[in-house]
Amino acid sequence: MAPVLEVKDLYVDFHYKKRVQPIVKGVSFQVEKGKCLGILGESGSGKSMTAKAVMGLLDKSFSVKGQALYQGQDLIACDSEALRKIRGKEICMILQNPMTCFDPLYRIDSQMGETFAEHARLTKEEIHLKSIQVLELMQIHNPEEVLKKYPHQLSGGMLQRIMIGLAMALEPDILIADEPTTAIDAITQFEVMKEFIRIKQETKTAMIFITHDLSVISQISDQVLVMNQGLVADRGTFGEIMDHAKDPYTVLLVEKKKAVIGKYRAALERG
Amino acid sequence: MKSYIIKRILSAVPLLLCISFLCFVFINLIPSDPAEVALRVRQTPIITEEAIAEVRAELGLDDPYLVRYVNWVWSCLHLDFGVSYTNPSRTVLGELSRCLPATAVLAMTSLVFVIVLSLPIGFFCAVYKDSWFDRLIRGIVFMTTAMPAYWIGLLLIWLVSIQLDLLPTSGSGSVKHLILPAFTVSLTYISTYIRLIRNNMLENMKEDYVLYANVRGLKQSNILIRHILKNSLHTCIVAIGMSVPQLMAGTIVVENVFAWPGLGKLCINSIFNRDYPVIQTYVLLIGTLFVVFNLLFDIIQCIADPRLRREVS
Amino acid sequence: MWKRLFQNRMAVIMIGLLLLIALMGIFAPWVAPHDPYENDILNKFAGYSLSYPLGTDQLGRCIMSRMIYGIRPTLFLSMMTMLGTIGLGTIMGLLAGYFRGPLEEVIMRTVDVMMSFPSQIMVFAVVALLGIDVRNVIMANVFIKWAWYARMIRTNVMKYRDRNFVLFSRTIGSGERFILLNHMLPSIASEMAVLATLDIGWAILNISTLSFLGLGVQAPTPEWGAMLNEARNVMTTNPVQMVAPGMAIVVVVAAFNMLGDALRDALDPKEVQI
Repeated sequence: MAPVLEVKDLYVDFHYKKRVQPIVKGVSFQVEKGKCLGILGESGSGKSMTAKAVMGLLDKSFSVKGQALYQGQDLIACDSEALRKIRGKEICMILQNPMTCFDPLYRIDSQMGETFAEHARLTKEEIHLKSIQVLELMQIHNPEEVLKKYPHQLSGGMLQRIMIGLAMALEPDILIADEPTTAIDAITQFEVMKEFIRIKQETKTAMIFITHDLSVISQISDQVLVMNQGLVADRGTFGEIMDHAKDPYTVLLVEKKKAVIGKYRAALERG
Repeated sequence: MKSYIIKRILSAVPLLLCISFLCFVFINLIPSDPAEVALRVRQTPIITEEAIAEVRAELGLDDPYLVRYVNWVWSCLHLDFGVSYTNPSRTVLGELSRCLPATAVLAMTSLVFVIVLSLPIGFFCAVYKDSWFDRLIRGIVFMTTAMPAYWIGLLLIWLVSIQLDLLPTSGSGSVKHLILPAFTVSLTYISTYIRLIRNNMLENMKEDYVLYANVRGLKQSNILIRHILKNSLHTCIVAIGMSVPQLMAGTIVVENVFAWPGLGKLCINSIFNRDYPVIQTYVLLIGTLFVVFNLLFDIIQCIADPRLRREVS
Repeated sequence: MWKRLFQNRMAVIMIGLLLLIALMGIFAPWVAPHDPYENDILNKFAGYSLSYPLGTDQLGRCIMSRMIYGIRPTLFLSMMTMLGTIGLGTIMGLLAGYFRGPLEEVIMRTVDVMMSFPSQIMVFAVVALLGIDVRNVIMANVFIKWAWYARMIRTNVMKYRDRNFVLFSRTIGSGERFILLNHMLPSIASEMAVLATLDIGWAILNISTLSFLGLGVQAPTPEWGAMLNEARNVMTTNPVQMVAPGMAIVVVVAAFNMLGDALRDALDPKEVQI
């Protein structure tokens, strides 16, 4: 099956005061329809930058080289207006800090509404109905009330779910989730992961799941890409990574995680 | 939020008291005896001890300090600010009211100029950061902050009135007379506000919600105006509000240059004539305006910010 | 810190320019072509010539000489103002920072009041109060600006005071205070340098404004603001007279502002070059 997104030899450099710092040094991967690619790595490994580069979200101080083939187009060679139309509708992204991602001066319904208005021709009533639908789909109670609220009045978990709902509302081909569980507590994390798994099962949307948490990746990804310092350290299924990691970095990562889980289990048994 | 408003109003009261006390102390710090000064200014030919004593009684200068202060505050609240030393037939209130409208007109017109010019210029400087436009404006802004307001006024008079003969040089009476002085006053503040708006917008551009708006594929113009500009203006509300009293106070020099018959001219003349009650009341007036406007716009900013609005949920 | 400063080209140029101007002012009797007070009515409004590089004013005085002599009151008065402001602000800040409690409260409330007042008005008020004299102009400026420095110094003192609180209690003499100053001084120095350079520009503008209005330096003393006042009266007959003093003010104030900006960039701890 042809991949929905194919990234070849992606290079991203940061230009600062006449100095060039390479951030991503030649990354290639593919994402297939209905499957989830997990990108694993510590902070600074370049995983978020990879996603932002593909979506065209980096500003002038970054230079991006390589190819990102989507529906026959190279996203990196695309002009900004074409990319803008794709963003939010065909390729959607979920960000790390839902608390700060919404404009504090506008209500939720206005922010959801402007996204719909931008990408689809809907009347005000249709937009309102769709917003309610989206919230209900994300298991949010009292959607009418939530829509009238300002972002600071809602919890991080709720905002994260609204973000996910908004991303899925226009039925995108690709959903990129950039550390969606990092900024929220463990219980909400569980709820949010349930949503992601449901989305994966019910729709044919391809997913890219970026995180540094091995356990989160284990729940959802079909293929895993391990990144370290801008390079791909390992790739394979989760099982392959856990047991037969090739790169010393991955090995270290897995060992540490196993040690932590081991201690956790030991503590549970003792208690 | 109500508690915030009440707290804020309450905190303004001691400030007003301090200012009023300073103004009151003001008159009593002058090296010479106020009664004697009053007599001299009224050009009394012979100043005798009895005359001084009489004036002292008239001005109530013999009562204890605190009593005088309380009396003074009381009369101020009744808008009785005493009589002018130079011209005892005129009350201070009368003098100030005579000159206030002219200054208010000048200040308001300048405010309009400031807003109309600094908003779009600051906006585009931020949007096109480091472009030739941005750099040119920043250069101009830099130069204007180094220029004394009166020099700008003089140059404008020479250029526009004398060379080009477009507008009258001084005085008041028509809209034409208003343009040059208003423009001169506004020039000194435009630079501040251009910088303010530009910096605020640049700060807001780095915020997460801008990234998310881009992620959602919103149009640039939409993001810039509906989100970034609105947030930037929001943080500037107090600064913009404070511009009114600042402009009222800032007209002093320009009024002198353009012979504009407003409070500034009155103030300068009073300084030369040693008309202390007028000066004292003028300082009190401006100080009070500052405190009141600061308070008012703090409250407005609080109301406008949804985060502060609903404390009780 | 100093190394970074001298690496900043703009700062070096500005310091050089200002030093040059200061030297010209100090050595005015030798640098100026004529006596600035010398009248020669017959020669009034003369154009540019070798002996009168900037021409003469309405009383036939050499404008160039008056400009050079005018450096003296401008720089001298603003320096005095800065010294007074920094001195008073430092004392107040130190008092407020060391001795907490009621003294600190009183001082900081006063600081708040001073900072919320429009500075222009206060200057006029103080000059009005004390009379029209140059010294009063300085005092007026000091009266306005000390609050900013007091607040800054107090914040710094409190930072170090709390840090060394334990050692403080073991202090037997001024030894600890000396060490305190050694740590505090660099951090204060950079902030103060930036504030001071920007304030000198403000002070110069203020002093020249007062002189322009006749409330500061009195005629016939050459001072740029006062010269502009005289130039205003002869605007129609000799407009050129307005140009030189104004340009001088702009150049000096702009130089100080640029120096302040360069200092801020150079001394900003976040700007460390790798």
